[in-house]
Amino acid sequence: MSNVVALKNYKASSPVLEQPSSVDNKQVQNQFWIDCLIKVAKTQDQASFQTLFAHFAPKIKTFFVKQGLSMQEAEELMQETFISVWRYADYFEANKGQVSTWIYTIARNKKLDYYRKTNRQVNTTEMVSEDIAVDAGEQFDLRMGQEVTAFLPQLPEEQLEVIQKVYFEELSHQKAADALNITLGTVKGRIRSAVNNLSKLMRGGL
Amino acid sequence: MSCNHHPAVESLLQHASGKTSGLQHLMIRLHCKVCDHCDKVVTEFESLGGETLESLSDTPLQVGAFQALMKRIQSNADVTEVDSNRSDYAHLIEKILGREGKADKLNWHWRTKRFAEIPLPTEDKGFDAKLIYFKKGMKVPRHTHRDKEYTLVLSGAFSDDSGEYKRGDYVYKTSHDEHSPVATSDCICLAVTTQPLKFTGTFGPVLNWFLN
Repeated sequence: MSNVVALKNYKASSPVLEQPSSVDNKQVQNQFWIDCLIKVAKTQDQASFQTLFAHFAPKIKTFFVKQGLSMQEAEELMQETFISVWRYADYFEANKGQVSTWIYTIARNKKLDYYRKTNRQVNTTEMVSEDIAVDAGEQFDLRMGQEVTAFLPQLPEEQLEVIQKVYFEELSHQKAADALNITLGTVKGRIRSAVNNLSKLMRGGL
Repeated sequence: MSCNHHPAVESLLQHASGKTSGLQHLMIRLHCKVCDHCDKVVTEFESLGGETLESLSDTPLQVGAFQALMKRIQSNADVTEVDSNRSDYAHLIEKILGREGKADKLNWHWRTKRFAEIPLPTEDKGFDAKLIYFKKGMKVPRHTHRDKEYTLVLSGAFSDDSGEYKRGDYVYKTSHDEHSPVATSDCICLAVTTQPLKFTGTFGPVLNWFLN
């Protein structure tokens, strides 16, 4: 319980990290990518597709390299990702969010597919739950009409940062510690707090 | 529709960041098909993936990469679609969950009059997977698990001392959980265990020998 109070105080006292202008810019940028995707979907517009490609393809290649794949494999999977972007542009739901998230999920699925085909082991992130099981399971009832609404912004920035580094940037706990200039113990502690907080948020609030 | 029994938040994070594979991936993916709540949680985690992607530096592409890509698209090159290669039973399980499957036509191995199973081949080392079918009223003898058991309810429902489990529910039991589930309606589950079940009732030793 004390953690919950501490977290609320933390949120109340933490400075606003994102200036409104950068949020606006992000939205404007995303709308631009959405417009490109719509043109690809509706008129197979190659110029819009090339704009998306020029921005995202080199990043996607980096994404695959970071997964431990060779330059050649990364180039091939980047191409396959964009073939799917072209083919499934129609399926992107503009109201659902960011184009970068949609492209990320395509790339992630290409990676998983490739790993399966080549019998590679998917690298998992070290679990911090007490039970080192694959999964400890959660049990809760949701009250009627209860919706998950953006809960990531409710996490303290320092916890969110560690989650992003460890889960999405593929850094080991030690490398995340080095990158953030904190100790290994602090990384583990923050992940544990983040997982606890997320678990509470999932159940319907802190 | 939402469920009452969910994967742990850490598993959803692993799933969103592309670190689940095989049976675990299948179970979480299917749970999210039924559970809007977890589906939204995963989508929100995926947005971190999108943000990370945006923050990555550029790796130079091969010369003429875009032209090569357009050539492949125009020639309709065969590209492996994300799900085309998945095992047949994943497809089958999804159909049962989607209420499209004709589950009774499957090649069930009837162990008793009211209990049947189909062992599933798996590439996940150390895991056993099967589809199980219990008819309404069937009570599974009291048992613990030698290690871990994950169950995804595909249709119908069952209950035990800790509650009722319905379509889409993701149930996790360990060697500490002793239970005797009863099917409250005809129930089909995907069950993944790390070790065979261990029956603990009076007839436990016989059942252990007979069923395992």
